[in-house]
Amino acid sequence: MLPPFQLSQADGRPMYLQIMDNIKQLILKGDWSQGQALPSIRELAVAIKVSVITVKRAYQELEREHVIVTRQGLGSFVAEQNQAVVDLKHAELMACVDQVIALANLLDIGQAELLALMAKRIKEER
Amino acid sequence: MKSSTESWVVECENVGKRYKHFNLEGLDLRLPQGEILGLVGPNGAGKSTCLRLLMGFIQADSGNVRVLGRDLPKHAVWLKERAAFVSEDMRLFSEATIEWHMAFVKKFFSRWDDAYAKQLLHNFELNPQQKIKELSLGQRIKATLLLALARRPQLLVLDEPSTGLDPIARFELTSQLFDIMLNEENSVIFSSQFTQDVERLSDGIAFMDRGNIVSHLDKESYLDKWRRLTLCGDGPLPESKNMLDIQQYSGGYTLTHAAFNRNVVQQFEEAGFSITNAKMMTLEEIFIDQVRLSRTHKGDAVHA
Repeated sequence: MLPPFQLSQADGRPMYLQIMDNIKQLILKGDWSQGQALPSIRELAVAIKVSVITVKRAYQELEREHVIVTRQGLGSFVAEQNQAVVDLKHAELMACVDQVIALANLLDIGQAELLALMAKRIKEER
Repeated sequence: MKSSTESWVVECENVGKRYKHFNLEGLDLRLPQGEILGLVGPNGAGKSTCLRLLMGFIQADSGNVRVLGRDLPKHAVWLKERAAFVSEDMRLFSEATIEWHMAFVKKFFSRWDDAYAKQLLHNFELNPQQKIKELSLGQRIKATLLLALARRPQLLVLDEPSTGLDPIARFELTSQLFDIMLNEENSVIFSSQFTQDVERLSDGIAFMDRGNIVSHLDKESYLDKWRRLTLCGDGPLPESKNMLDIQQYSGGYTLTHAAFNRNVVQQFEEAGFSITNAKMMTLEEIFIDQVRLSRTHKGDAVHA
């Protein structure tokens, strides 16, 4: 079964970008693992009720970003571990890190103190 | 996008049809197999005439019409088995039930699919024992669509299928069309006054106005090409046929651009402008502006 996609007409972004985001999230969260086959363009289009051309566009862009690979006649697959997927993960994490830094600035917590807190929490987690 | 070996489901070349108060002129239209094409245009644009030519119901005065590889209207009877046409004014027998109609249509079409017909009854929540005269408009359109779909047509032609339907019924109808898409041999052409219907479903979109196709592109290309721009800078704007709604304000311009790309950005920058905002447009906005643009350039149509 296809995991749920979150698409909205009210989202200002074009549909193909929303589809790309959904797929990236699925890959990041591990729902779609490396090397796994993606649904065919047509299957996905019917499942999420979006035109074939829009899904095709999303796949093409993901391919350009090296997030997925397409093998002639076999379909599309999640790329094996590579820089694109690493970058995605980093981007996802950095968005949170930015928030932490902004909050630290707001609370007047210096760099050394912040790093110490981070180290402490990481130790506790283990 | 399409290779030359790909087969065309529909090929119209320079097709003309003259009526007393309306002319269809120089109509060129090609539909690759497996695509869904939305034909959008205001009332009287020629959408219905175009669709009826494709079904071989009427004969063109000039040009060639080929559908599923055969010339029309010569092969109209052959086509009837393989293409289905649905319009709002389909004649059903008001005293007969849906079930009766299903049995009736089945007799004429060898590709009729009983299991699929049953499935559609369920999906559309239709009661086969109901008489046509007891149905609401939405139910009648669904019944008509069922009779067309269960024939398993290679080409489905829908003339304003959603006109008069409430939003829920419209959603159900478009949802059903997605299932046809699963088979990549099936192609669909449908006309609509609403870009909304077309937006989600179709791969290609043809805008019609005053008996002409003013633009036919794949949907993504439309969204790529059209932008509402805010420019910062003085001086004259570079000349272009692709701009409309140019408004000057202190320190710059706002305008709509119909062929936006990197070169356009460069041209503006070379002319001393910086683009402070490039907003994407909805298909509805694009449609309205495309028609307005082509009316201003009547005689030198804007193509891809």
